[in-house]
Amino acid sequence: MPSSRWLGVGHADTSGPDAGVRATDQALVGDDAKLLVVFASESHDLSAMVRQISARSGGVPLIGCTTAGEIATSGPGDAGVVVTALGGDGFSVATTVATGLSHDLRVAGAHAADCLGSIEDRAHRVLLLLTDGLAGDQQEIVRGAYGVLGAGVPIVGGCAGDELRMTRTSQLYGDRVLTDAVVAAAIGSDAPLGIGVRHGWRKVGEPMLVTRSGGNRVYTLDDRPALDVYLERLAAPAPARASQEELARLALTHPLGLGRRDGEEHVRFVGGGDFADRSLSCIADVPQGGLVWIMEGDAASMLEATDAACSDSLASFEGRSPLGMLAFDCIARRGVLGDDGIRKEIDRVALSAAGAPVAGFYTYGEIARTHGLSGFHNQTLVVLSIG
Amino acid sequence: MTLPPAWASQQLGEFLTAVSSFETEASAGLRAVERVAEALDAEVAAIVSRGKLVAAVGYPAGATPVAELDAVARGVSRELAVPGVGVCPAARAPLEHPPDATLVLARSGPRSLSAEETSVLRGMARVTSMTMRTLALLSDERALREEQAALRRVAVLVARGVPQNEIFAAVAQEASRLACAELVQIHRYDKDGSSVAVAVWGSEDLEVGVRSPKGQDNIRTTVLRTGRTARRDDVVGSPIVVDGRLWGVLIAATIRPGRMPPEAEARIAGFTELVATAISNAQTRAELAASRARVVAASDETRRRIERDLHDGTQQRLVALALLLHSAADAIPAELPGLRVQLSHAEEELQGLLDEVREIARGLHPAILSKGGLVPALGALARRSSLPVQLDVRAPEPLPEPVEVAAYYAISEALTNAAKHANASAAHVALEARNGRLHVQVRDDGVGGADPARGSGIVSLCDRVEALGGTIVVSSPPGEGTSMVVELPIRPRPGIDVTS
Ligand SMILES: Nc1ncnc2c1ncn2[C@@H]1O[C@H](COP(=O)(O)OP(=O)(O)OP(=O)(O)O)[C@@H](O)[C@H]1O
Ligand SMILES: [Mg+2]
Repeated sequence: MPSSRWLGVGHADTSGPDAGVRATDQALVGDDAKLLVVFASESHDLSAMVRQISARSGGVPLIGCTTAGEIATSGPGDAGVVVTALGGDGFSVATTVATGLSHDLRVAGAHAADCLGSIEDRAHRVLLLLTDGLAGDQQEIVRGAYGVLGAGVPIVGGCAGDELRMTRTSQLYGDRVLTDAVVAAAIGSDAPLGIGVRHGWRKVGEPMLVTRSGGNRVYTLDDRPALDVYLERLAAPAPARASQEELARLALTHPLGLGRRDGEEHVRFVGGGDFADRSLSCIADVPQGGLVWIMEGDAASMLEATDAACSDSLASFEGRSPLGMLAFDCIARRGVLGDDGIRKEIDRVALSAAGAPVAGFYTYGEIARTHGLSGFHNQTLVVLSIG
Repeated sequence: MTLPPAWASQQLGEFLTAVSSFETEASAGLRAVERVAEALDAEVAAIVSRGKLVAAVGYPAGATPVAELDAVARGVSRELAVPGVGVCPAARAPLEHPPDATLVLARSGPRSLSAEETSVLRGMARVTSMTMRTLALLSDERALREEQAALRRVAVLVARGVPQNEIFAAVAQEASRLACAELVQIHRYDKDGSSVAVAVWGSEDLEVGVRSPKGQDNIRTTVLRTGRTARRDDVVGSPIVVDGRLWGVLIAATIRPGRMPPEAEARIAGFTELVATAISNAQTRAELAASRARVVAASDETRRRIERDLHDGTQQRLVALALLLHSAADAIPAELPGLRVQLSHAEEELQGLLDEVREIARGLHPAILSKGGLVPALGALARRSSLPVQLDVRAPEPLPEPVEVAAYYAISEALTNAAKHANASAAHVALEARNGRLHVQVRDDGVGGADPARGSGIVSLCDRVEALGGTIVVSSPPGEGTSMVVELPIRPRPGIDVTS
């Protein structure tokens, strides 16, 4: 007898006191709910919201996080809340949380992965992670989780946002609101779980050598101040050489790409520059000794990547439609696509979903490990299709 | 699929850089296999040594199939079944350290490693083994320093003549730390074969003063029967011999199986000797000095071994790798200027590592002493100092090695201190043999105010010098520079045996 599985997405655009509950009611389209995933703007009273949701659902395990914009089937939005619910006897789910992330990312990653051990063995499994991207090198979390899971379990998810303030993000677990944490759900299913990862950027010009970097800061490229090299290569207009805001605008569409074996570069978003010490600050680690390219992209290449990520995530479905899709979409892609572009993008995701619901959020970093050990991305769209 | 240009050197460059942040041999192993897997997009990377697992990623925690990995390491198998992924083609590369180790890799997908990827794998294997080896040596050196510090603390108590029970208690505590043993006991044997506990560390069910019966079969009775050090699993017993007679036993045990290091016996033996000295009624200063001399001589021997390992092993390989990189840089076509920069960076990085290793080796044992004697060694010391050093050396007769070594260390420490703390403009070294004694003076014109209590350099010099029956005087009035005067008898006084 085929097992029963269902997935629903609910959505409320306002920050009214009952927004979370309304979204939850829409999402709970079946009995035997196993998991709630909540993506919410930080403009809500989060503590009250998770308490209400938990009360309403009767304590269904919940993970979630704050965002830099939410994604629902009907399109992208801000200041709202999107709730995904899944259930039925064809799914098994366990959740966990690790706090004090910045203290030891690797240990937190390993702890988060522990929940996989407590779900029943199913043909298809995935570890879903929602993390505080401001806590440090996220690949360390992936390494920690990989050490527990091994190669057999894909890892997927994203880093919470705070509407581009870049100061503090929240993670939700049960009826708790945390920061500097990683929340995880191990999902086992009788049907395929597929992942697609694409960025849509292309390299421009010659590679440069990272001659000095530390953590997320790049000091020199080809032995010259990194900011100077960057501005020169882009023939940056005068305003970008003097104003942080103008520089950030230029950087939004010109990240750095780290060369990978498979030719699909890891993209590093340039957050800004220091006009005094002439360094560049990036959103993730740029290793010293590596080669980097300046990348560029436009709305057309971003949307091509959207289509490709969706179809990659459905590759193992053999033509069947998914129950739903989760999208982890980099906030910087939103910048490149513009308001109109992101609506088009979500329309295209919904089209791939063929009528199934879509949920997601704009992230400060995306997680997708399907083969090999590298799993942290930037400026990328990650799609999880749930069959 | 073709790899991006300069991919190989990029990967090696990143790897070299990452390697420099490894802290211990064990973490280096794990970090290295992770980085290898990331660079080559592999699901599994592991290090196997003589059938044992050193580090692995790619398997669920606790489910690493060591035998299968070992089969790949030995070349018996060329694939690995990776849970959740399937059967993957495997590759391997030899490691020069740990002994007989192999780096094993498995990657899903149809393609096995290309020639370029294989050379990257081998390069990473070399970097990994050098790093692990260097870290192993460094931790040896750290352990040695800790051991000496612990022995010194107890020696000070003995020299001060504090009551025996305090010394026993201190020994039990220090031995527990050094031997990684939670439980330490010291027992005194009685004529009837029973024994009395005189110090207890870490056990709740035994107290000082409690008597243990004769006739049992355990470490305590084994040492009594044989008079020798004995080991059973995670329990070690070392005899305490006073004035040629078996007096008692020092027993160290761990509750965590397999955690007692193999060198625990040797470490504990150093303490039993101090205990014996404390007990002996003929507790003269000379005897104490002799036992300290043996401590110093033993640690010099260990230093020499570590130095030799560093010099013959790690350093030689680093040099070979630097040369290799250099010739590779020469062969780069002109249209790849980035790669040239890249390689020259790797070279610099390596050169830095090499300098560091040389520095460590130098600090461990003045190898140059064994080659040309004290005078050229002091010349090298002076040249290397960041301060101008004036040398005034009058030491005609050949000096015994312990005296040379002590003089060398004293001058080296004083010059290092002058450069590091004194803010001096110059230093002056005088060395003269007169009336059977070697007189050494090192002066600087810096800020003065040296205080041995703030560091370990001067204190351990005192040990070394006093062990040889010499004296050391540091005078360092604030604002008036620092002078250190060391006097050493050139022939050891009768009764002090510095070799055994
Ligand atoms: N020549 C000097 N001029 C001024 N201050 C000195 C001089 N030599 C030593 N000192 C002071 O005396 C302290 C003790 O010196 P000591 O050599 O014992 O330790 P150290 O140099 O700090 O550390 P190390 O254990 O590495 O030798 C130093 O920390 C320093 O403050
Ligand atoms: Mg010193």
